[in-house]
Amino acid sequence: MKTRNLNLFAAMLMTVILLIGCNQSAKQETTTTESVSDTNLLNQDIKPEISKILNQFPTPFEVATMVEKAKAGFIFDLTNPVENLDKYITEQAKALFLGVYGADLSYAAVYNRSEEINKLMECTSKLTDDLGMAGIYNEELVETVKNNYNNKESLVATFTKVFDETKSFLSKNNKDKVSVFIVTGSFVETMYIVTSLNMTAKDNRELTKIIFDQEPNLDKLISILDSYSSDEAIKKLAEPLTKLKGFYANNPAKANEGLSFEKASELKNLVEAARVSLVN
Amino acid sequence: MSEPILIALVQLFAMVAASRHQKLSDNTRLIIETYLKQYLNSKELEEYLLLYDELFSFHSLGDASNKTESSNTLNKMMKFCDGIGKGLQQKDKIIVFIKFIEFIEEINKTAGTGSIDQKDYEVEFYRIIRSSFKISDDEYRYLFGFLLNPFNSSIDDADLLIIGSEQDLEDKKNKKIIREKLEGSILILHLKSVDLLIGRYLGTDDLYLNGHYILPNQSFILNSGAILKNQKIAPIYYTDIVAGMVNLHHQVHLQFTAQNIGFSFKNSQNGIQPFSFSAESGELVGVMGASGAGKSTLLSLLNGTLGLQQGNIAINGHDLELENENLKRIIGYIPQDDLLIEELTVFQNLYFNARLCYSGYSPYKLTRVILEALNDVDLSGIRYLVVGSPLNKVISGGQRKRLNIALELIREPFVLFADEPTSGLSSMDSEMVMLLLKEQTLKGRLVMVNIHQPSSNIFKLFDKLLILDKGGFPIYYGNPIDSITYFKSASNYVNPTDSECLSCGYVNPEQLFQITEAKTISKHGKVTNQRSSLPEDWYNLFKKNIQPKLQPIVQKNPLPENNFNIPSKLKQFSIFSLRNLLIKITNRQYILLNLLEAPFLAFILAYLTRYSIDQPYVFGQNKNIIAYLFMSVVVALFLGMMVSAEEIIRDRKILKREAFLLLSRYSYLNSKVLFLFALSAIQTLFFVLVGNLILGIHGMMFSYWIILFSTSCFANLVGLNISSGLNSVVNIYILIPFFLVPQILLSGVIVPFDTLNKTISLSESVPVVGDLMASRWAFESMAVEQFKNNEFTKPFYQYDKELSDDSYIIGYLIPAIKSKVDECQHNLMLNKKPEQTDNDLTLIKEEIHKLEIFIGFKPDGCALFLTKETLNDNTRRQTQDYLDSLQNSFSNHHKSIFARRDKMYQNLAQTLGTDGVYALKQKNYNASLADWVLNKRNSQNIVFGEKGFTRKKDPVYMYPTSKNGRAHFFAPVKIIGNFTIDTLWFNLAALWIMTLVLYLMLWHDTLRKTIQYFENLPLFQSKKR
Repeated sequence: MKTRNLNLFAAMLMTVILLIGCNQSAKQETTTTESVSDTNLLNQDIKPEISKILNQFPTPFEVATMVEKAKAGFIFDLTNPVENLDKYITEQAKALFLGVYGADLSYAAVYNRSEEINKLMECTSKLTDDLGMAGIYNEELVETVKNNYNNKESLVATFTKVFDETKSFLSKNNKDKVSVFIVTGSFVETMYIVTSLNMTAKDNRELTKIIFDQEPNLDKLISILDSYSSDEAIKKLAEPLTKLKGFYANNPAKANEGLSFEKASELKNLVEAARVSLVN
Repeated sequence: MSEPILIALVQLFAMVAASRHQKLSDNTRLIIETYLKQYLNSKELEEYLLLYDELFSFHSLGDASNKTESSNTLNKMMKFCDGIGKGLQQKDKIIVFIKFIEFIEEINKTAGTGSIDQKDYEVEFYRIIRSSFKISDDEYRYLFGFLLNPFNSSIDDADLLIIGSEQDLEDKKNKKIIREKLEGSILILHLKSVDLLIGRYLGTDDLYLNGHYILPNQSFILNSGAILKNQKIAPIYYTDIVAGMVNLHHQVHLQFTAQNIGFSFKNSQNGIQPFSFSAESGELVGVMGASGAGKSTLLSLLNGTLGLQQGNIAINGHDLELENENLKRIIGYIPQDDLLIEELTVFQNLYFNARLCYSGYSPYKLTRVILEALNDVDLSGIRYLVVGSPLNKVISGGQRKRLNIALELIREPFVLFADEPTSGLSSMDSEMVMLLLKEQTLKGRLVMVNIHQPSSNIFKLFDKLLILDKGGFPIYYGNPIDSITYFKSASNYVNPTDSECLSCGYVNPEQLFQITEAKTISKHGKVTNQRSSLPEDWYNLFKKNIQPKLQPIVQKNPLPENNFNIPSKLKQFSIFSLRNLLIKITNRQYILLNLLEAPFLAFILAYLTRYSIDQPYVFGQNKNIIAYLFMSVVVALFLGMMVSAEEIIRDRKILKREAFLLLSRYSYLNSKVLFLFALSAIQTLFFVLVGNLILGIHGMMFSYWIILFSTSCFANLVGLNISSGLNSVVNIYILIPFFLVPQILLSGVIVPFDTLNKTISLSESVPVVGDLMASRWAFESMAVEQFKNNEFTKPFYQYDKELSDDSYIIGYLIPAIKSKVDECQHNLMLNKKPEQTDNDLTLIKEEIHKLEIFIGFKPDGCALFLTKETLNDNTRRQTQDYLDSLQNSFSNHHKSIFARRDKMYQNLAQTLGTDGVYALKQKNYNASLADWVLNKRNSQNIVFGEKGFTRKKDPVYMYPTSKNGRAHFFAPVKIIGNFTIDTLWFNLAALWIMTLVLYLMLWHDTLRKTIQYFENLPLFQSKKR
């Protein structure tokens, strides 16, 4: 009799537990089935010219290498703090800051800063993963990087490959918009680093040259952004860049002359405004 | 003789003496002095005589020959008697009266009767006292008759007991006690109204009452415990006298028979050799024997605890084995060990015992029963004292023994067994205990006692004596004093009948053993170690001489009834629970420690792990949350085990007794379990409250609490099992690491399941050893719950899950499939590993099939290409393209999910603001924890094995593949058949199932039985000669 009671009790307990558990998870099944039909709506065809520009947009390594050659210093504070990673929740934010961290990573890589490379690589890999491009930062890559902290060329090659893979993957999978964001973020960050260094360098003629060399890239970027003019978010990003373009227009490049301190800080502030706009 | 009585007497004496002629005063004083000497030492005597002198001179201030003076004296006396009357009890008043009469008679004898006036005077005295003390006419006559002329007076036969030789008392119809060698006779009067026993000795021998010489013709008062001694006779105990007075006919009659009983232990020579005997109610039977003779075994056989191997035992014809339950109601057993609950008071011990024996008694009736029992054993005075331990004595050893006896007496058993009730007691306490037991026989009980080295007095208390020799050989059964004679004759002693000392009455029980265990003397005249007569020899003698006379005639008679009534299981449960609670409460240290331990540990844990990079502290950045969760589980296990480890073992002896009484072990266990669960609930609640508060964990109170509570309950039951199965406390503590170390190691935290020894680990799910660990279930559910259901993550979870699934497929699975296809094609071309390739292709097809179903493709789009025969470079390329398109679809899916997730975020940001959302995330979402449950620390994301591709990426987003409930570690849900169950509930169920299994093991006492099984195997048995 006792065992029967026990069994009964056990059965009741199990049933109760199962019921509660099932109830909880029943609600959460629904999203998958609907999603497939939505897929088609979000495809936005990108114009082939823009696509080409996008694909050929230079990696931040070019600038980084030039900066290093100009013997400007490595100032980690300039880079975007790695702690902010958690703040980037939407797809757009993740993509923008993938670009930003990518630029920072290039900067650290050309200076062979292993510690910073590590930290920044963590960020870029997480963001890449979140954006659905898992697999790009694989074990092999990490190993290669770890073994070549001192080998600038190797690092540059490795990361360039990564960025290219990222872009080609996105392009193949109709996620060009993501690509656009990445590129935007990377450009703005690069400009930020260069213009900030420009302000503090004693002899900033080389850095100024680098800055002025970026004008065509800025143009390309603006044209890409303009092709998405219907998108509110992108419009917001384009605004400060247009203002920056204005600076270039007003201050033509003078050969072998560095920017004055006031001009340099004006420039930097414009870029900073663009950088801030990335977050919102 | 108490002081008030003596003072009253001195007063009266003074008054009377003063009223007489002065010339008598010296004689009177002498008489008084002699009288008082009986009761006082020299110092006190002087004091009282002084008092007397003062009073005498005070009262003799007038001239006594005057009639007015006489009446004055009488008035004084009347006033005085009235005055005393208020201060003395009736019993004492009568004693005063008796003494007064004797005093007057003594004076008359020595000083002459005096004038007739005097005589009248005396009569007046008596009248005054009689009326003042309210003594009835009958009693008055009784007293007078007894004191002056006992044999010719009109005292009722029933109220007078005479002690003397057989011859002298032949013609008397009164109650008798025979003492052959006594000269003259002792008369004892029973005054019913005050329950007073008054004695007189009419003879010329020296008679002593409690060591004091009794003056001839002096009456003496017999109180409880009184012993009358004379050199020539056996002592006369108070209980003998009471027994003589009381009519035993209406009492219960019980016949206890043992026929041809025998028993032997497995693998041993010891046991009890077959024999028969019988005993009756009203008898005190003693069992004697050397250590190891088998006394305890015999007692266990007789009370039904041990089963007979041959023969049978019956009470009033009812077989002990067949009607065990019935007979248990009337059998009592007092083991040698203490059965007291040390934390409770004397009264409480009896209280719980009584409640378990008499269900249905009102509290009032219970109290009465208990007070009666306390009175019987003379422990009323200490009833509110806590019993205490034998080491930490509060009540003395003798009192403890008496309490143990009281516990049994409450049940009113008709047959009482006591195992060495006098062991460890002083000789006075021993006598007291034995007298107590003897008194029980007077109430009609049969008492059987194991006794080791009785003193002469105790030895003489027994009605029957059973002697066992080494090996369980019974060698004698009969009258104790005769036993010595028997053995002496058997050994050809000179003067065998000389059993007790003529002058002092001392009997030497040691003689018995001296005779039976006498050693031989070698030819060199030295005493050897060999016995001259072996136990078997005595046994054979017993069988020849004594056994034939002992064959009992078994008659079936109804069993006596008592009110013993075990309460229902539920009632027992509540009684046990109450008792348990009381016991725990008395130990304040215990309660304080137990209640404070949990919050204290929580405080330490939480405070030390409260770290974040940003200051002030931010929960989201605390890197130690995993450690905290793990340690909480460990703490819960530890606490649970510690409180329960000693629970049952402490009650070992009490349990034995309760089993004997057929009380329910089931109820007992349930009461323990209830208490421990309640304690666990409180401890874990405190723990969670403090810990979560300090670490800033939000919204997880209930989930954490219920998981830790369940873990603690599991540990409680482990502890109870160990406690029930092992014999010593030390062994329990040795076992604890055995239990806890695997729990810690296999919780999945210290050593990840994937990196366990390959023979144990499984690739797809947690290995079996892991599933057996409570810590694994508890930790997993806490970690998953914290990650998945916190306020921030909850709305996003489903999206994140799908994003993760897509990410895995896009980033790892499809690329892996692609590589595998290339590999297979390559192998086929070179004809390498054909079987494996075939297998691989099948697995690949299955995997692709699953993907197609999921995304909505037409299934088996490229299945044709993936066979041994068809896979070539061309089809390989086609397959790759197909896979690319598959990948593309998944990517689109990813995009759309992300869009919807973003929308949700926007909605949230609108209400809280972006900063608000970030703050919410920091408060609820812990990044380090995320790393753990997303397996970020391990870079293995996909594994290809025998069963195909196994996903390792983001375990907490991955639904398990198997449908039988088994899953990988950190699975968010578990799947059984068609049901998807949230991990929290599934794990809780797992914990409770394990707890239930342990409960059943406890009930069945599996651990103990397993140990016994192993101990009984011949392998582990020590060699016995």
